[in-house]
Amino acid sequence: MEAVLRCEGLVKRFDDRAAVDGVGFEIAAGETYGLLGPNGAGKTTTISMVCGLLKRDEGTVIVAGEPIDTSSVEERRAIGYVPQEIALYPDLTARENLRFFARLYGLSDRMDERVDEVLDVVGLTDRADDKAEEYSGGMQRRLNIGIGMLHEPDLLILDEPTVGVDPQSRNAILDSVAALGSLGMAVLYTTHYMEEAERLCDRIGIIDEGRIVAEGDRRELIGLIGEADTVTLQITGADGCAERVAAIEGVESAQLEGEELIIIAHNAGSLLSEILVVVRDAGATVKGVNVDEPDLEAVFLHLTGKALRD
Amino acid sequence: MSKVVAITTTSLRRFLRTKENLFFVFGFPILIIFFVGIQFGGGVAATLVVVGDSVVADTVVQETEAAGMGVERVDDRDEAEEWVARGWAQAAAIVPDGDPWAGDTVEIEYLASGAAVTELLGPIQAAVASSNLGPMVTRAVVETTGADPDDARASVEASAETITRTEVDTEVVGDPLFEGDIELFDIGASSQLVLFTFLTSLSTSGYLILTRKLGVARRMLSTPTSVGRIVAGETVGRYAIAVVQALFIVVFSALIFGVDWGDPWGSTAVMALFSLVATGAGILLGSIMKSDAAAGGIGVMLGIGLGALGGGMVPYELFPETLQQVARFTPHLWALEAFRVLLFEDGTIADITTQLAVLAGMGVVVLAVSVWFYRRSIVEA
Repeated sequence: MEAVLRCEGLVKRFDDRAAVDGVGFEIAAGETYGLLGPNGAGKTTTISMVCGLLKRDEGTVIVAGEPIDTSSVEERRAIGYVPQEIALYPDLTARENLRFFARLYGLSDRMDERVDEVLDVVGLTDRADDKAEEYSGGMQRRLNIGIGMLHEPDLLILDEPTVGVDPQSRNAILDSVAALGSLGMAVLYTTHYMEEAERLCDRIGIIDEGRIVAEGDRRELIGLIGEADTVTLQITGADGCAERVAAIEGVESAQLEGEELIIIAHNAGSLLSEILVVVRDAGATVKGVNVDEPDLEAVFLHLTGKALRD
Repeated sequence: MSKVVAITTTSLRRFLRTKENLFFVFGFPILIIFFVGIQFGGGVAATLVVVGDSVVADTVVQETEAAGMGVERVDDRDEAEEWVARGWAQAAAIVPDGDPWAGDTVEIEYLASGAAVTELLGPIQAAVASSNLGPMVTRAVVETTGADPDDARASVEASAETITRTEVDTEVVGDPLFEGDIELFDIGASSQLVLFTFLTSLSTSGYLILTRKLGVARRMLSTPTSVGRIVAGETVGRYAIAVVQALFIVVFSALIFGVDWGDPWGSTAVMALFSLVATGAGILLGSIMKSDAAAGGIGVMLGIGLGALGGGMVPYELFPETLQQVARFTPHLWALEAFRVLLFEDGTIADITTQLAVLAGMGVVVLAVSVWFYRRSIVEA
């Protein structure tokens, strides 16, 4: 599939320090790509160069087949940018904010129609004529996202859109973002929240100190560090079942500790049904199941030697 | 073009939506023009305070009342000075106690402020010239002959036609600050126009800073909108605010207070060019400052300071020579000088070409510098 965004070898130096050092990735239509990294890793600098807001020292950015740099104007029509800060006029209503940016995106013909659609998507139709400053933080964030998707861009860029948002609003925002991929947009999503990257992104680039240190889907990334899943079964009457489970192909080990059978296996999710059959055949009764998969936090720790939120 | 209009109209909407801004743009200047007008002007019933116990003082009071002006009697000169200083009265007449003899010289001291220099002098001159002769002669007859006062008054009145009238000499000491036929609000209106147009333009700098701080300027840049259009939209919005305020002051003061702004082409040109300088100054302040609160404070100080230096509060002719030279660098001075020619000398646009040229030059330079700084501020935001 043709990439909507293709960036290669992006470099940005501030004085002698390279904030971004050779970053490159591609995003296809309908795909959500996550840039996961701690604060200061180079996510926002990368995004600024992709949007043409920041002059790069090296590299290329192609969006929807058109090169983008700081002198691009019309080419930016393909991009929807949702900045980290809530970048809207608090003294205007949601509708006025949307209409203002709709005119900047050149939507004069379909402006009112698109404004109504976006208000519906971000769940602000009932409060459309209230000033943005009267909204909760979560509602302002949703409006912030709505402005970026007004003109139905080929590429939607969201820079940490859930920073400072309460859990309930955060869920609503994540649901909205999850729906964007199905609309056919390519989505570039930066975050330092591992859970968000895992929940939303088809592929993830792990960025640290200006470099992408690993890239792939969640399974591929976890596979990079070779860590296995841990399956814990609460069972009774389990005599001898540990050995039978350990014999299943893909299971590295199975050990009974009291009433808990602890199994280490790669891709435990796909083995779970077979494990449960073996345990039942061994005469044991399963009272509870827990699967712990290695997460991106562990991957990040493994790759960089530090925690995501350091 | 539609993007420039979108940015312009949004700027205007945000600015005019705030009640405080509406008051300072439209309400406050008119209030100041009104208060300055009644304080220093000469159209609302002016008041004269009179000091003195004599037939001349009595006649001054009668003549002032007959002229439809306010008059109050006070006890002494100190009290009269206080009345004038505090604006309770516009002029005071200090008349010597005791009725004069025919042929005596009566020196009436006259203290006045603003346009009352000429306005309230009239009744005093009329009083002295008209009716004080009869009582003076009556008193002379009574005191020298012991005649009955009523008989003496009747005799004097009967022979009044044959008596030579009193001669009145008036000597005005000091130069009036303004010449010509100056109406009540004329003096204040032009000063307030330049003061408030500039002050308002500077106060809009906070909006530019907020737009940057909120990330809206950067977000605008992420849309298919060029930097030039963003700068143009913000500049036109601010220029529109300045021009609308200036126009409002002109139209309202003309309709309600009767201010005669002179040649409309001349006044329009002064307003347009002065607004250009003010707009540039506001954008410059908003581009180089990072804090909207600090910009607000500095804006007020600059607005009032430059306004005062440019003669917006006290005629700059009263300044020391060095300060007068410095004042020539303020747009206020050139705008006020142009308005003075238009309002008080019945000049036309042809008579203020120098002032217009200076204002145009200032406008181009300040606006060019401010646009450069503003462009840089949003690109680097």
